[in-house]
Amino acid sequence: MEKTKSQFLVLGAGVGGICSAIDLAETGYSVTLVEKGPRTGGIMPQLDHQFPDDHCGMCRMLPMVDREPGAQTCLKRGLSHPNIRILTHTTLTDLSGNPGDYTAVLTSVSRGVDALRCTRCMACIDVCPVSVLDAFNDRAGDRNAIYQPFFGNPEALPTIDWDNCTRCGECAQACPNSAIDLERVELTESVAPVSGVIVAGGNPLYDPAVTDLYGYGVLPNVVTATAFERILSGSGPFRGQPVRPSDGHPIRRVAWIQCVGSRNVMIGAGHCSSTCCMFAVKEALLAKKTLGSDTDTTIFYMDMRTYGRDSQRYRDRAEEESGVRFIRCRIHSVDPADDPGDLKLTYLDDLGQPGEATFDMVVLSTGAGVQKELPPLLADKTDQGAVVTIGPEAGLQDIRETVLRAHGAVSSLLEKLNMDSRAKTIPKTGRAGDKSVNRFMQQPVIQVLVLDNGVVKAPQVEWPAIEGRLERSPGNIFVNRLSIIDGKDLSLELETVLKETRGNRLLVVSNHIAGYRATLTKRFEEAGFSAPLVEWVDLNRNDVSMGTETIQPDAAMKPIQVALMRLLHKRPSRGMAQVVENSALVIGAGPAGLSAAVSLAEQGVVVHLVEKEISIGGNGPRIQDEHQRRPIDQLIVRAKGHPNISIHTGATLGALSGRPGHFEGWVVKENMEIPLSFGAAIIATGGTPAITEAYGMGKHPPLVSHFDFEKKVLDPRFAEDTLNTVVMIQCAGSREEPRNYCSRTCCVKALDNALRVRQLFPHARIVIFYRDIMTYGKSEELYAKARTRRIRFIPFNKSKPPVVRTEGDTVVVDGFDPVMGEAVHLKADWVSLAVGMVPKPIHDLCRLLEVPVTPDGFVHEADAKWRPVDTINPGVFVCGLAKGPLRADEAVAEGTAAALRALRLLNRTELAPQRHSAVVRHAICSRCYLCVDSCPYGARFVEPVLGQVEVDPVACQGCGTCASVCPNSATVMGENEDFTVMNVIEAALM
Amino acid sequence: MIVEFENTLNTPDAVRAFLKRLLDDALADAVLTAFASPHSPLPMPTLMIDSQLLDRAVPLAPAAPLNTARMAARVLSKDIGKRIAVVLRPCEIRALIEMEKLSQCTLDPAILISMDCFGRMENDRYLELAATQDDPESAFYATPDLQEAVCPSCRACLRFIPENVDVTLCLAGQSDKKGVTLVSGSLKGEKVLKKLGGTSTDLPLGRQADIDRIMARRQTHREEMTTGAAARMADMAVFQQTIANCLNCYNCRVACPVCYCKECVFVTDVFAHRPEILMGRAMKKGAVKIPTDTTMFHLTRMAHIAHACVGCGQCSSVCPSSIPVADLFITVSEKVQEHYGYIPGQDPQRPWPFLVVETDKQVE
Repeated sequence: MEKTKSQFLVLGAGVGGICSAIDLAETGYSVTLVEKGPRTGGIMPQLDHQFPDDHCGMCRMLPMVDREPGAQTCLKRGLSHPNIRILTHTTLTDLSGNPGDYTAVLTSVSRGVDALRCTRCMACIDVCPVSVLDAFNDRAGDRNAIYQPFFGNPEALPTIDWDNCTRCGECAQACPNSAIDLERVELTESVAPVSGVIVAGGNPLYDPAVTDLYGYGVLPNVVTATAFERILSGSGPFRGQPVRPSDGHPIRRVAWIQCVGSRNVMIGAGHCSSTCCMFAVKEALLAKKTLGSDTDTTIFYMDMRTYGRDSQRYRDRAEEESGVRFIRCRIHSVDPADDPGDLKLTYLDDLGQPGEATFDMVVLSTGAGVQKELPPLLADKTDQGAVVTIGPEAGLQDIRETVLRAHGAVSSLLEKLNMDSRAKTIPKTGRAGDKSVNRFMQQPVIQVLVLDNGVVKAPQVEWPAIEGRLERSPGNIFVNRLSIIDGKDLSLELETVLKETRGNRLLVVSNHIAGYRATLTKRFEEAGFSAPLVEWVDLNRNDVSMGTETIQPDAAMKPIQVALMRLLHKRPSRGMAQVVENSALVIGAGPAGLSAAVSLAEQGVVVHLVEKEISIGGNGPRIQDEHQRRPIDQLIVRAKGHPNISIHTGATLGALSGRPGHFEGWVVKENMEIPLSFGAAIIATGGTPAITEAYGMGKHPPLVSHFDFEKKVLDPRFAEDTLNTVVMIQCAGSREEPRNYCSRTCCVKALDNALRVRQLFPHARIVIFYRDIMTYGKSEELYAKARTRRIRFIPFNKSKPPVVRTEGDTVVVDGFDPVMGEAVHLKADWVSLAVGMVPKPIHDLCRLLEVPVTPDGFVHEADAKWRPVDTINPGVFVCGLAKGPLRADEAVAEGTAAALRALRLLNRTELAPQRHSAVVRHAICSRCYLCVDSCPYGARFVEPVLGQVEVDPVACQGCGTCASVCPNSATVMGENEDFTVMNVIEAALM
Repeated sequence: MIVEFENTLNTPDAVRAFLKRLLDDALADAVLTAFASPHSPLPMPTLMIDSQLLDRAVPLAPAAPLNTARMAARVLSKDIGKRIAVVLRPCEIRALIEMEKLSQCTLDPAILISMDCFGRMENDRYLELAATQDDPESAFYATPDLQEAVCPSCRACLRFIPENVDVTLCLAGQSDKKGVTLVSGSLKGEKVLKKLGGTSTDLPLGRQADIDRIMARRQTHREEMTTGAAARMADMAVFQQTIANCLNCYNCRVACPVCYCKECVFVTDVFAHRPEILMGRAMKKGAVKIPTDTTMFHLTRMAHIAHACVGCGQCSSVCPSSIPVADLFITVSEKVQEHYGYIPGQDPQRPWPFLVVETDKQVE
C-alpha cells in the first residue's frame, strides 16, 4: 500500500491505540503512533489469556485482507506496519492549526541506548546494580534500571529507566560497543500536516495501596489481579512455576475479592469497572490450569456481572465443570491467619451470616483508577471533531468495547474530515511492470550483501572465509561487502551495488543488522527488491556465535545456507488482482444498520439498504425515551435523504455469489428480483423482545414485559390510577438454558422504570427480584440511586425463583428475602418481567453469506474480543442485536464500527493476490474434501460441476491447515510448498 | 431377520443361488463379486448383470488378489440410480466405509453383503490348491488344515464377523450343514430377505462356539505377530533393517484400500529431488542411496493411514521383497486406533479423528 499525504496522530499505543492505528493504516493513511511509555501493547503483553477462549488472540487485530504488507506474528512483541511510525518515550507537547491541518510537536526522551550500536547482548542489564519493583509484573517482581521492555522479542532494544537510574555507569562500562549514553536527552520534532488526532490514553487501574484496602502493600500475599496474572505467567516473575510470594509455598487456595476500588462510594468510586467479574472468572480458571485442577478458587462478589452474550455460560462452566466457587457476600476484612503467610477472610454472606475462610493468596479485583484529565491542548480541540478520544468517559473497557470504540473513533474522524478515503489511496500491488514483480519472474540469481558492521566490536567474523564459501556454492551467486563505519554514509555505495547487480534476489548477511533493518528495507524496496525478495542473516545470534568472540565460518554458513535455500524457492504470487466494488449491502435498517449505512455513504460508498419491514428504523421508533430515540430519528432522516443510499423496504436478500470485494446477488421485493452487486455486506438484522411463558406470562393481565411496563409508566394516564405495589422480576426466561445469556439492557430499564414509578408514586411499594444487577460502568450510579429511593432489592438463586400466583383477581408474588431473613408475599398491581432480547431469525441469511450462527441464533462474529464486528467471511460484517444484546446507542456505535471495517476492504480498488495462499492441484486431488471441512476461515468451497475444491484467495489466511490434512500435497501453500520447506530443513541439517 | 436359504444345496452353491435371486427378482441391478475367468482360477472382482454368469462366481473362494473395496468404490463413486449388491470380506467392508467418509464413494445405492471370514490365501497358494482341486471353494471350507494356510494378517484378524452390512452370510457353525443362513443388518437388508421369502429361523447352532474357537486361535497368532513386529520396529536402526529390501515400488500403497490418494505424494515433484539436493546429501554422508526417502515413505504412509488401517494384509501380499508390511502396520495401527478410540469401519457417522477439533463451543 502506498503511503498517502494525509497523516494521523494516535496518542497511546494500548489496545485502542494500536487498533485505531491499524484501522487508519489499512484504510490507506499514514499514522504516527505516539506512546509515552517504553513499549506498545498497553496491558496486553502482561496478560496471556482472555475470556472467552482463554487464548491471547491480540494478533487477530492484524490485517486479514491483503495482509502481506502488515504481516507479522505477535503483537505482544511489538507492532510493525509500513504505514505506521511508532514513537515510544514520546509525548505530544503542542498541537496547533485547524482540523485537517494541524501541526503537532512531539517530544521524545532518549532511551539511553544507541539502537545502531546495541547488539542486544544484554550485558548492561546483567551488571545493573539497581533493583526496582517491576511495573510490568505489577510489583510482583523486580527489574533493573536498564531493562528490556518487550518480553520475548530478541530484537527489542534495552532502555534506561531514568527515574531510577543512579548513573553509576556500570552498564556503560559493560557494553562492548559503547552503545550507552547516560545523559537523558529530550528531542523535539514537529509533524505537519496532521489531519486528525485519536486520543487513546487508556484507563489507569485502581491502586489499592492508596486506601490500604484489605492489607494490600502490607500483606505480601495480597496482590492485584494483574499481579496474580503475572505470577501465573510463564513470562512472569516465577517463570511459570508460581509460588506464594511471601515464602515460596505452593499456592493451593486462592480467593478473589471483587469490586476493589469500584462500587464503593466511600472512596469516591461509585462506578462499576465492568471488566473485573469476567477477568476474575477467567483468572480462576487460569489458576486451576496452572496450579492444578484441585486448587481451591473462590470468588467473593456482590453481583457477578456476566452481562452480554457469552459471559453467563462461561461463568456457569467455571462453576459447574471446573469447580470455581462463587460466594455472594460483603467482605469485612483480610487478616494474617495463624499459619504464617496464610490469610483469613471474614465476611457476611448473603443470608447476613458471618463467615470465615483461610487462603494462601488473596487477589484483589481492582477496577478503574482515577481517570486522567485530557490535557488542555487536546481538550480545547475535541469540539472541532478532528481530535477524537476513545471513550474515557465510559470508564474501564474490556477488549471488545475498546476495539469497537477504536473502530468507531476512526470512522467518525474520517467522516468528520469528509475524507473520501478511496480517492486518496493508491494501492500499489504486484502488477506487471513493477520491478519487484519482474524480478520474481526470473530464474533466481542471488546478490549477497555482506554488511560488515565495524561499529560492533564483538563478535568478530572472518568475512573472507565466508565470502569464499558463498562464491563456491552452486548456483548464481554474487557477493559484495559493504563496511559500516562510524559516521559514514552507506547510501551511495549501496545504491551502486543495487543498481549494477545482476541478482534478482537479495541475501543480507551481517554481524549486526537490528538497527538498520528498517532503513535498508526501504532502500531495497526503492531499488525493486520488495520484502519477499530479501532474506536476512544476522550472525550475531547466540546459536551462531555460541558465546565466542569470533564467529566460525562453519557456524555462520548454516543460517546462510537456509536463507539461500529459501531465496531459491521464492516464487511469484499466482492469480490475479481482484477488483473491489466501492459499494455495500446493509441488511436491516434498524439503529445499527442505519448507522452503518450512513457512515459508509458519508465516506463515498454506494449503499444498498435492505429492510424486511415496510418502514425503516427497526426498534428505533418504539424506543419510549425521547432522548434515546432522537439520534435514531436523525439517522432515519439522513439515510432517506442521502444520495449514496438506496433503500429497499419489504425486501430480502434472495441469492448471493462472489467473493469479498465483489458479490453479486438479488434482492427479492414483492416478487421482483432486483440484481445488485456490492463489495461487502453488513448484517444488521436486529432482534426483538423475547417471548416467554415464565411466571405465567400471558395468563394474567398484570404480568407484562418490562418493555410494555415502560410504555405504561410513560403514559400520562398511568399517574392517574392508584398504585400500591409494583414487582419486577429480572432474568425471566433468560440466564438459564436454553436461553442462557444476559440481555444486558433489562436491569437498567428496570431501574429506570422503578425510579419513574417512585417519582409518580412516592409511597408505592417497589420490589425488584434479581439474580445479579447488571449495572456495568456508569449505570451503577443508577443502582445506587435506586437503593436510596426505598426500592427493595431481593436477590434470588436461579434454582429458587419467586413464585407468581393469583388470589382471586389479584396477582401475588411469593419470595424469600435473605437479607431480612423472611418470606415475602406481595399483592402486586403490576408485575414487570425482564424478558430479554432474542435475535431475528437469520439462519437462511447466514447460510447465504457463509457465516456461522451461535446456538442462541445470533451471528457468530470472527472473534468475540478482537474482531467484534467482523465475521469469518472477510467480506461480511455484523453489528447490532443480530450479534448480541445491546442498547440502541451501542447498536449505533457498532454500526459505525462495522462500517469502518467494511471500509477497510472497500477503500481498495483491487485486492492483490497473496503469496501465502493455498492452491489446489486438481489433477492429483482425490476430492475427499478433508480440507474443506478443516479450513478454519471457510475459504474453501466445492465447485459443483467437477467437484473440484476451490480456494477464495481473499479469505485464505495461509495458515496451512489444508496442506497438513491433505495426504498427497494436492493442496499447497503458495511458495511454502512441501519441497520448499523440506529443502530448507535439509539445508539447516546439512 | 434371519433366513435359512436353499438348505438342499451345499453352502457355496446356496450363496450363488442367493446372488442369482437378487438379479432375477430385480432386488439388485448388478452384483459385484469374485469371479474366476476362463483364463485363470484366480478370482477377480467382477461386476455382473447376467445372472447365468453367476454360476461361475466364487464369492466364498479363499482368495482375494486385491482389496475389492477399491473396486467397489469405483462402481459406487456416485449414485447413478442403480442398486448394486457388493459381496466383500469384512475388512473390505471396513475399508469401503472409510472411503465413504472420504467422499470416495456413496453407499446409498449399495447392498452390502459380507460373510464370516475364514481368511484368504496368498495367490500362489490358492493357485496350487486350484490346480489339485476341482472345487477349491468347497474344499477350503471342508478342510480345517487349509483354513490354517491363509495369509498372516488373516490368521491374526480379530474382526472376521461383518459389521455395518445389509446381509451377513453365516459361515461359522455351518460346516456340516447345507444351505446358508442369511442375517439382515439393516432395514435395506431386511427388505431384501423378506422379498426372498425364506423361512425365518435362528442363527446356526454351532456358530458362536465356532467363532469363539477361531477367535482364540487368532488371538494367539495376533499376539505373536504384534510382538514380532514390535521387535522389528524397536528403534530406527532396527526399523531400517526391517525395510532394507524395499525397492520404493509403492506396491503396498497401491494395494492399500485406505490409501485413497489419486496420486501418492511420493511420486510427485515433492520427492523428485533436485540434483543439488542429491549431491548435498551425498556430500554430507559420502554417498546417498537412490531411490531416496524409503524410511520416510513408510513412516509417512503410517502417519497418514494408521488410524484407518483395516488390517487386510494386501500390502504384505504384494511386496516383491517379502517385507512384512502388514505386520508393521497392524501393530502400529492397533496403538494409534486405541489412542484415538477410533475403529475404522465401525461407525459410519464418526469423522476421521483429526477432523475432530475442540472448537469454540458457541459455534453450532
